[in-house]
Parts: sequence; structure tokens; C-alpha cells
Amino acid sequence: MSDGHRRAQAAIQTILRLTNLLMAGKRVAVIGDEPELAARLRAMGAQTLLADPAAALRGHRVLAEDEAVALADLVIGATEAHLPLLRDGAILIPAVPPAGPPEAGEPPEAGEPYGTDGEPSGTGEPYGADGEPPAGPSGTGGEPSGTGGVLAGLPGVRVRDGITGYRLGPGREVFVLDMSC
Amino acid sequence: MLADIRDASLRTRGLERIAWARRSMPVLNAIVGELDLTGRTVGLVLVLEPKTANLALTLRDAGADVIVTCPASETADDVAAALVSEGVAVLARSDASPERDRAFALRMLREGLDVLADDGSRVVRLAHAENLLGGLIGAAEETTSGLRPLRVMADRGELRIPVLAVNDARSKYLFDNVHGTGQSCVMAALDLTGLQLAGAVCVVAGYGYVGQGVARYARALGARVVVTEVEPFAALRAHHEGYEVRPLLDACPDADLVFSATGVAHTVTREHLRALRPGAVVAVAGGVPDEVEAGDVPAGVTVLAEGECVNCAAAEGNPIEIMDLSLAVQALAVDHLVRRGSTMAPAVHLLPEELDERVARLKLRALGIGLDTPSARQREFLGRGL
Ligand SMILES: NC(=O)c1ccc[n+]([C@@H]2O[C@H](COP(=O)([O-])OP(=O)(O)OC[C@H]3O[C@@H](n4cnc5c(N)ncnc54)[C@H](O)[C@@H]3O)[C@@H](O)[C@H]2O)c1
Repeated sequence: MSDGHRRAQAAIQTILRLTNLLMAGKRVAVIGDEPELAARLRAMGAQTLLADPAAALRGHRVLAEDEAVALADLVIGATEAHLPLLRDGAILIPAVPPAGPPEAGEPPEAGEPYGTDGEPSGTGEPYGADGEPPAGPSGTGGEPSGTGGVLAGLPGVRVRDGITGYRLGPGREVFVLDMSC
Repeated sequence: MLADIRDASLRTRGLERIAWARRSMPVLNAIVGELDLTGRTVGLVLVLEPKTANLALTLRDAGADVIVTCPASETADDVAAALVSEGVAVLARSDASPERDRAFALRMLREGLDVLADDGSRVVRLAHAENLLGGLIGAAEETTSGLRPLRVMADRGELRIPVLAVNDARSKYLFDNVHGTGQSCVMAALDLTGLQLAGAVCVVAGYGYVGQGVARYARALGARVVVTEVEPFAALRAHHEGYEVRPLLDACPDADLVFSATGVAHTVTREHLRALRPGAVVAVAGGVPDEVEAGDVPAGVTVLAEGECVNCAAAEGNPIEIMDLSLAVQALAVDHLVRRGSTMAPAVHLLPEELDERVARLKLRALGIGLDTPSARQREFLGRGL
């Protein structure tokens, strides 16, 4: 319970520090079971988009996951499967990292949510249906951040500290946050 | 070209940050083409970071020669380097002494400015004191606390140029002071301390625009918020919005985190600091000197960012989308002074209503938000006066 609040605050701190954006008014799809995070975001003025019908009772907008992802400015718990749906400029937060200091030196394991620092988080889906480890962006393995990762075979381009851009097609670029920054 | 910066090699990082900010500044983008500053020299004294750098570039693109200066504590050296590489004159370094900061401002004034965009009215006042107004047509002032002394000067007949109150534009203070400053000051304090807000007690001194925002974002992250005020309506408003309202000295012993959001010196005194418990943290969201009294801070109490405004001095400042609004107002104010300043009296003026509303409408358009328009029957109703 209190871990959920810790994780929520930590994730919000990292997102806002990396992007310098405003949360109020953002459409944020929250994939996976993150009730504290969704509540905090809503209280900060985000329009939260959730798939769980019961979330409507807590002031969230309920949409099928695909629709939520297609509408979102920010996608929390994003996976590779979401890529074709994303809007231009969408910001992807791969999975909410666990609270507390990351355990240094531990290599990411196969099948883990993309972008975490090596601790299993228990939520979010691993990239790739076949359970293959995604080729993570820099930052997942302790390299200097933002030297460009690979996402679904696409080369990433450093945008600024902790943010990598991926061009999905003409006029369509998305940004992945390195939550371990 | 005029340049005194700390390290030109930081340029690339600065350019990256400026470009990232630009992506979320649709209003500034939309007004570039409307400005005509050909041949004008414009001085900018704003917190030097990626968003304000985009204002400098916008004014440059509108034809102005732009000179930027900024006090050391609010200068990002990478952004300074990036601006110089883009042909903007910059006098700002994070390692400057207060004397050097002052010398930078004097040097900028001696270049002969047409218009000045100021923050805290430091340089407007300096120009008056040092008799360096020269051909200055007028100034645009960004903040609440910068306007206060200028209004005092105007009342005493000492103000010699027209000043546009950028802060008092609704598209500025309703969003910048409330949401921008609220979010960014709370997040900066958390980044600096590692404090968990859920279950913590956060005391907010001052429930003006900034205080309302700080209280809202602290509560959103789970804090129990206590507000302190000197003004009865503000106190009642806080009470009705669900906050505990108490005198500051009374609230201090409970506080994990105290924000001063008053913009008034001596808000948090030594006596208040002594009443805090060990581990308590104090942060400034207003930003005037001595808002938290300097001097011996009791053991165990931390004053963040040496008592300067915590979002500007120790984080990346206000959020990008918010600064898009504030800086669009600044750009329109500079343009308005160039066009009309010579016909304006030496006083503090509001930005013309239509320019303020234009900023709000451009932002709504960028968001894809539609409005209703009053119907003929509604207009008739409103016109009847009954
Ligand atoms: N950090 C930033 O990025 C940023 C942005 C915008 C404004 N500001 C600054 O924040 C300050 C506040 O701005 P604002 O727009 O909220 O002004 P405001 O006038 O709306 O609010 C100030 C409030 O403080 C109250 N107050 C004054 N003295 C007090 C005291 N001793 N104890 C408790 N309350 C007291 C006043 O009654 C008033 O309600 C100004 O200095 C402004 O320049 C900072």
C-alpha cells in the first residue's frame, strides 16, 4: 500500500524532472495496476485514461487499452505492442520502476519490462510476445544515458538527458523516458 | 558580438534542451510571424534556461538584436553557450559574483536598449538609479514582486518609462503563478530532499496565486496542507478549499516542509525556524531576498537553494507549456512597446486585453479545445439588462 504511494511519487518526480513538462491537462494512459499513481496524476490535473471499468468511480476516464494509448500524450506501462497506435509526440514511460535506490550492476533479465533498472516490477508487459529481451536503450545497462537505444528495430536518437526519440514514420516521432535516470 | 559566458563547449547540451522545449511552445511559435522588431535592440533579464532561450530566439527571428543577462544563481551555462552559438549576445555565468552580475547589467544598459524585458525589476531600477535609461522606450516586467516597487516608484513620480505588467496578464498569472510555480516548486523540493509527501505535513505561507498552486500540488501528492495568511479573504478562501489555516508560528512544530509563497521579505523569521523540528525543510516559492531570514539556521533544519526561489535556482524552472504562455505575453509586450511605447505615459500599464486574450485563444487552438459562442438569444438576454 505505502509502496504504491512511494512508487507513484518517485515516478511522477522522474517524469517531470526528465521532461520539464506540466502534468495538468495531459492525457495519461495508465496501463497495468497502478491505482496510487493514477490517483496522484488525476489529482495533479491529468486526464487519466484507464481500462478498468471500476476506475470510472474514481474520476478516471475508462477506455479500452488500445483507445487509451491512441489518445494519450503520455503512456505509462508502454510496451512495443503499443507503438503502431501512438500519436506523434507521445511520451512513453516503459514501466514504473520500483521505489528505492536501484541495485547497481545487476544486468536486466530476459522478459523484463523495458527500461527498468533490473528489478522485476511485477507489472507491465514485457516487450515482444515471444518473451525475447528487448534491446533496451542506454541507461538500462549502466552505459551513459541517451547514446541511443533500439526500439522495435528502430534506432533511437538522443533528445536530451534521459529522453530518446524514435521516428516511427514520416511526421511521427515518439519519446521514451529512461526512468533509471 | 557581446559574450561573457562560462563555457562555450556546453553548447550542444544547451541546444538539445532548447529544442526539446520548443516542441511544447506552440503559442510562441504562432506569434513569431506577427512581431516586427527589425533594427531594435532588446534586453532580456529572465531566468536563463531553455524556455526563455526560446524567447530570445523568437525576438531575434523577429529582427531584434537581443542581449541577455541573468544573475549567476539563475543561469544555465549550457543554455548561455547555446544562445551565443546562435548569435545572441549573452552576459551571464553561473560563477559570477554579485558585483559581476551588476556589471553585466550595466554593460547591457550601456549598449543602448530600445526595450527591456525584466524579471524582478532589478535592471529597470538600476537603469533609473544609474541614469542609464538612454533611449529606452519602455520595459515589460514578468513578476508580482518586480511590479510592486515599480508601482511605488510610479506613485512617487519617480518612474520615467512606461512599464507593461506582464505578470498581470491573465494568460500569465492564472497559469504561471498557480500551476507552473506550484508544480515546479513542489517537485523541486522533493527532488532535492527525497521527502515522501504522502502523510507529510506541508505548511504554505501565503495563499495568493503561487500559494494556491503550491498547496494544490502538495495535496495532490498526499500531503496534509496547512496554510498561513495575513489577509482575511485569502485565509477564508483557503479554509473553504479544505486547508487548515493557522498562524505560521503555531504550524511550524508540525511541519515537515514549509514553503514561503508570499514574495514578502521576513515571512519566515528566525523565530519560525527555531520552532521547526529537526528534519524540517524550508523552501521559497516566492523569491525576494530575505523571504526566509538569512543567518544561523537551527541544527537539523534545511533551507533549500539558500533561500532563493527553489524552482528557478535548483531545478529547471517553470514547466515548458506554462512558460509558452508567459513568454508569448512577454514577446507581445515587447512588440507593443516598440509600436506604442512612445505614446504611453511613464506608469505601470496592463497589457491590452486583446493581446492577452489572443494568447489564451492560441493556446486553446493548439490544444484542439473548442468553445461555445453565445447564441443570438443569449446576447439579447445579456443586452436586456434584466
Ligand atoms: N518561483 C516562481 O517561479 C514564481 C512565479 C511566479 C511568481 N513568483 C513570486 O511569488 C510571489 C507571490 O506571487 P503571487 O502572484 O502569489 O502574489 P499574491 O500577491 O497573489 O500572493 C501573496 C500572498 O501572500 C500573503 N502574505 C503576505 N505576507 C504574508 C505573511 N507574512 N504570511 C502569510 N501570508 C502572507 C498575501 O496576503 C497574499 O495573499 C511573488 O514574489 C512572485 O513574484 C514566483
